[in-house]
Amino acid sequence: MISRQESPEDSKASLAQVLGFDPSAEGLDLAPDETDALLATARTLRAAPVPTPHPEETERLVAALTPYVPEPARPTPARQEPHQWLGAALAAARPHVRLLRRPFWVASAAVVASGLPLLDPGIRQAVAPDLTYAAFLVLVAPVLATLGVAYAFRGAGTGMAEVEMTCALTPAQLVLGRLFWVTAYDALLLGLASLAAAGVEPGVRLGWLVAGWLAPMLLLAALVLGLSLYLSPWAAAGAALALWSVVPITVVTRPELGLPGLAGSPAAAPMVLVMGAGAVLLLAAVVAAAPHLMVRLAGFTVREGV
Amino acid sequence: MTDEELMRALQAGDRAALAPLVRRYHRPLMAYYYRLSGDYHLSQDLAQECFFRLVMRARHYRYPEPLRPWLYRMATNIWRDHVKSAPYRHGRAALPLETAGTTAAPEPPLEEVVIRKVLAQDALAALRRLPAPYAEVLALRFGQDLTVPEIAAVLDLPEGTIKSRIFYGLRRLRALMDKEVPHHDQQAGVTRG
Repeated sequence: MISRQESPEDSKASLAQVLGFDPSAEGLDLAPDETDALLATARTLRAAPVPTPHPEETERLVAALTPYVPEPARPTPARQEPHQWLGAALAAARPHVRLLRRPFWVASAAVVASGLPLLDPGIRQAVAPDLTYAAFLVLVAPVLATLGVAYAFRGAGTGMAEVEMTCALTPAQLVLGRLFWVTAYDALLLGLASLAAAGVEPGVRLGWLVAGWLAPMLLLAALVLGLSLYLSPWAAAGAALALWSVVPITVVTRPELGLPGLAGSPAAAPMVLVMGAGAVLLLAAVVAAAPHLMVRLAGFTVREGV
Repeated sequence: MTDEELMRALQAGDRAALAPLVRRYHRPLMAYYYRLSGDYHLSQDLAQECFFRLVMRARHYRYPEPLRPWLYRMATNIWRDHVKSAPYRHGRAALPLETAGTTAAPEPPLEEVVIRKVLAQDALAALRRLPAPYAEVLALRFGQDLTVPEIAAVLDLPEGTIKSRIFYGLRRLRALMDKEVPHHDQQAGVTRG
């Protein structure tokens, strides 16, 4: 490269400018006599003439490509701030409530109500002396959430998930929106029932009881979604319930263990912490994998990125 | 309209948004491919492929993400696919530089013009002999004027890696060019400083 002579300082500054960074500041070993050589090479490369298309070629290309421009399509949602994202997710959740039909509302309420007789000491003594209503709620909450989630995603394989993915929502918003209604309704029912249990049964503290059923409920709901990446929603629910069934089976076969997590007291703290942490981690993983989940539910594949 | 606004319009099915995008990027993309391949017609084909993908995959673009890194990521993937393809591996045919019109000629004097042309040809030839990771960053930095953060976004690599590749790539390029010095000196009749 033919260039006028520059002072060493000028050369270094010029090199940093051409490179877009200062090599010395980056710890890159620059030999004393190398600056000018690298600068000349970079400038040569930058100035190297390359062929350019004739304007007519460009116009021909435009004409050839124009018919391929898709019909008006939804733009991919813009990146959102967390509060915007949550707002959009909640707004997105609203129409999903219509997907949960009467069987879901009625069956969930019926299951929670079916344990109410346990509040009567006489009936409880006759039916299940070791089972309090509080423990019943802890046992049944994950079952409700598991079946509810599977029911909410029952459109898998019918092509509906593919249609859903054309909505102006991210897959994570779609998944969380659906999950919201299931868990919110179950939480409402179980919350009301917890009030009754805390008011009637001795030693039951409302806060611990709620935490006691909320943590496994969210864990199982997230587990169903996670397993749905590999199984159908109903099969995933079956697998999750099989896992959870260990708890009631233990209650029935080994009543001497007492299972402190079912007590609705501070003794539930370890279980709540472990399951709560598991639920948060699993939910985060499900949100991250939401695009794959929706693709899986839709039964087709897309190529990520470009 | 900005690139990003045009892209958003294209996503919405606005065909009029395509022409400005193609007019803005046809020349830079062809230059990028030419720097990497040395083949004008191949550069033309790859640039067309890139625009075709831009149209077909417009819905994957997320406004207001800067378009330039997104587009060059796609262009680089197309180049890598091509490099992996059988025809490329079984015979690289580089056409001479004079296959088409070139960018504006350097200023006189004539002697300097000749020397610059020879050196530039050597630089491009050496660039194509570099390992792909170096060639790509050098072509993006010195050919397309992308910034380090933009190149990092294109190649999905940390900025530190990009800086290191630019630096060591340039050093290797220099070494390759230096091997050609006797040839240069004969052609240009000068000695480089």
